[in-house]
Amino acid sequence: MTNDGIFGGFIEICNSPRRQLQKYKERGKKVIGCLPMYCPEEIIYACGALPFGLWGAEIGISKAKEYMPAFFCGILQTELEMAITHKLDGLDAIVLTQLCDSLKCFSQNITVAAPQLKYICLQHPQKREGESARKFAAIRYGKFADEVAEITGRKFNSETLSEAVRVYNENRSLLRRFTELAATHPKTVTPHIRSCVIKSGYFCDRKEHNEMLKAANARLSGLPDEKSKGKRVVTTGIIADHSELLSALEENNMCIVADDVAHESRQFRTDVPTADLEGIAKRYLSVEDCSLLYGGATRRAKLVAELAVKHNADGVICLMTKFCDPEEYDYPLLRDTVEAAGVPFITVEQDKSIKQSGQLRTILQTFSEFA
Amino acid sequence: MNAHKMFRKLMDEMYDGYEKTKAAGGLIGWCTSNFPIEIPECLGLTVVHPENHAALLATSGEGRRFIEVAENVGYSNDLCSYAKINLGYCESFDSTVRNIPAPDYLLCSNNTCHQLMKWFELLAVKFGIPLFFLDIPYTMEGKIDSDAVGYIKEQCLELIDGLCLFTGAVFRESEFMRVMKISSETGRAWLDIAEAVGADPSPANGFDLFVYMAAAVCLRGKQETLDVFNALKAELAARSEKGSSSFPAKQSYRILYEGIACWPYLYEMQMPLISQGINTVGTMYANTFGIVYEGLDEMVKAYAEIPNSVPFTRGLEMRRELARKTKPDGMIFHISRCCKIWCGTYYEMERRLAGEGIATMTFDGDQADAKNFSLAQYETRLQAFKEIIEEGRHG
Amino acid sequence: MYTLGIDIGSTTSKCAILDGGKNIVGSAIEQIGTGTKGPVRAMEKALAAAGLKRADIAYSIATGYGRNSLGCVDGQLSELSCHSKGVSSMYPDARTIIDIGGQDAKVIKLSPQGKMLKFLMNDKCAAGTGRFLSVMARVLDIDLSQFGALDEKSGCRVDISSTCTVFAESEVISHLANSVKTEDVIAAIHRSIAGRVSGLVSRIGVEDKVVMTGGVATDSGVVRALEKEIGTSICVSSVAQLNGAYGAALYAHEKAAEE
Repeated sequence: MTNDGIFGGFIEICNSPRRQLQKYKERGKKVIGCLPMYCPEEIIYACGALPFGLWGAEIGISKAKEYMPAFFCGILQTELEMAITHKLDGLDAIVLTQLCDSLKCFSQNITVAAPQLKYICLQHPQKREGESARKFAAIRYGKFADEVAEITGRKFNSETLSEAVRVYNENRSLLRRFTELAATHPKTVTPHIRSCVIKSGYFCDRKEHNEMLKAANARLSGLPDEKSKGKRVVTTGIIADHSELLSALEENNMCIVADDVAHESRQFRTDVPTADLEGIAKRYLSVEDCSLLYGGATRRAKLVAELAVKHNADGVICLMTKFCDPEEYDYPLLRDTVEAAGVPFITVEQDKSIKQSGQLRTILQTFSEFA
Repeated sequence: MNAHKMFRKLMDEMYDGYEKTKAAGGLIGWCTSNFPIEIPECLGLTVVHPENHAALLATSGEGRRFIEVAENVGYSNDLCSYAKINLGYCESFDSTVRNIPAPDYLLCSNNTCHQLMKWFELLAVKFGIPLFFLDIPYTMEGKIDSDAVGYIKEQCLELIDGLCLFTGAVFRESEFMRVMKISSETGRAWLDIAEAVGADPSPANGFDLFVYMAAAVCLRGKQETLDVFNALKAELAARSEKGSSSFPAKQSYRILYEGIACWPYLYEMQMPLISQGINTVGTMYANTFGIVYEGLDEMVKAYAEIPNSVPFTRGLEMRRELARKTKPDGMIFHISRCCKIWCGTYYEMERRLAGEGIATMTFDGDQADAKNFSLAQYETRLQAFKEIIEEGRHG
Repeated sequence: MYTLGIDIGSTTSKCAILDGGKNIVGSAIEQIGTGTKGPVRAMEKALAAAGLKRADIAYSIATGYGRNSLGCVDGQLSELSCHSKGVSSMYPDARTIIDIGGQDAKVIKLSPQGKMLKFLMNDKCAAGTGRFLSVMARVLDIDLSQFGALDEKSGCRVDISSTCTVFAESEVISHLANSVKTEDVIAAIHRSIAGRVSGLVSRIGVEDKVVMTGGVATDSGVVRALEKEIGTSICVSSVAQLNGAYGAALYAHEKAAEE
């Protein structure tokens, strides 16, 4: 049995997000692009459209440089590049958020630089607690739902919303289960496959993704546990899908036993508690351990250390997205908390827009060679 | 006493006041620059502004030492240099220039930027003290709506309750109204000063705005600040009448300065300007702290609509307005490497304004980290910029 | 039994051949890095110097950025492991290694047993690396080999405040334009590198004995400036530039013995 048998579908989707987009467009689906982070996809889904993740691409940037100075992260630089060069024109709208300074500036640059696209601005409260924040989040999610309905021509109702919440909660639960199985099957689920399984959800109907995940999880559950040849690691950071990162992890037979990556587990750690707008807002408000959100620094550091200890990891790999200030602020506290828990802490820089230097490989290999 | 002496005295008293409060067993709050200062002021609380302190240390050349400390702790070179200076300073509290007492609580609003929120969160963790956070969300399109105003207002009330509970202060509506009134008058006076500097010829060296700004940043709600600003206004008016100016050379060119001051080089940057007769007659950065309003709703709106918190189109309109008033020959943009929120849309803004006939120039720098600036680059560009203006005049 | 280590860096290729895991019987340094030309030439020269043939080598290990580009070796290891090995073998009491190469700076902490405990590397920026030095050498039009001696003559302190290579370059030019003496500029360049690298050292925590390796260690000006910055004396490895290759050859010996 080859890995491709179980995972071929996931890999294929990740190899060509554009083909996926085309496929859904041909089916007459409206597709709405969702930038990082915390876009309430359930609302889009309930309005009959397909949420489509926009987390950057491995491309060089030239046009984007005319708008954003070099000290902005590669995720946003490459998305801007794609928007300007008409690579995103198939999307019916793009959702913009303002949860960090880079996202704020990006929202302004993309609307000016790619006026051919439609945008929906979603203003999240940064405040996590208190009646005022709850009320405001509900108001903004309501406004967001109206704007999405304007694009899709279909308002959500309680039925479509509870179906959307069901599909998404199921997806989150299946992904959580998958990451556990990945930890116990490092030979079958390599870092590259693990990344594709998670990432593919951003480019397909979560309902289809659920079916694929169920099959994959069932197959994995039937396989005996495998011992990792390399180090067992916990990853933390914004994104972990750079091809060179994944191949460097594979070369060193590393096994990701758990993650605190914004593009991965931070998206499926928590469920929507009730099948209504308030419930969807509550999920956002309950996220306690994200670098972008108020109050996240301490709890994130604790969480990462706990993950490493719980999973008996050999180390934590901090994937530092270059120029991501929220993550850069968290860094010393995160490092100290993890090291205080007796877990080695390794940092590698990540940048979507440039080919990784050999430094990445050197650092990961050195870590592997650690006695 | 002239306005400058009054200002110096005011600032000295401010810093001395911190120590006195601490010594007397009072509580010290640390507060972000665009937080509604009216709240702690009306409660009679003493608050320190770490951003101002960081700028002071940067200007005096001491910033470098503290940045090194912060970077050695592991804070990235790319982070806000005010934050780096302050986080480094917090390791020792041993400035040879000016010291500030450690905080007992924190007041933070994110209308300035997201970085301040992260920075203050870390302070709360470091010192184990409460952080009173006021979320003033960035407006991505149009104008701030009543829902956002309502959200911020409600938070203000929640925050006042919490602050009173923690500090034991008592909130009095009448005192709040009085402070709001002074604060707004001070804001008005500050904008009047900025406008006076924008006259042709200007009665002042525009870089002076960066100096006096400290009072507008830290002490908006105080009568003493209003007195200083009124004195300064009178001086500028008198000079304008006489046709004199504190700019030490013939004013051949008028420019607007866009972005945060480059504090470590505030003096060095003025030299080539003065020697070439280029006066800075306006800057949006200083105007940010001229907050004018009437009543709580308007106050909330005013804080939510500072240049850092509004969409590009509004920001552009603000610069156009400033240009209409001052009729500059050109505009220079400081791309501060560590400040995304100020500089993230400068390229497009520069293109738009240049397209409308304003000569422009950008230079790379950093508001407080001396190692991210090159005087040579600045001087070379400035000279070319002057030549472009010159050509425009003759062409 | 002969073993071979080859360290393929960004700008140079270094090769060392050991006899019995002890004495270096042949070595070579080629001024060509990653690729095959430089490494192969370095290997051939080292073999010739030792009077050996390829077939005489029991085991070979490649290290450095180009470690994966050479097919004709038996294994490869990261240069951090190799530097640790080389230093701890030659200087058993070493606890801190500072290695400055062409494109990065590394600081390694060793256990009393000579095991690597922790390491840090510079961020994606040329400040504090050999690259920074070579850019400055080009601006000054002075050979790098003279930097150490010239630095000693410096009598007047000037500073280069920018760490950005491009900015620093323009600062150097304006110093020169202002008739600042070359030796004073060189001393400032050395201080700038030392400042950057000492940041890494203090993050890891300096512990005596400090051993320095890498091509930049041959510039005595950098060493002096670093000693001042970190407040302790630095021992420059007697095989500074060759240390990575030496460590690789030591590992190769262990491997060969195992097999």
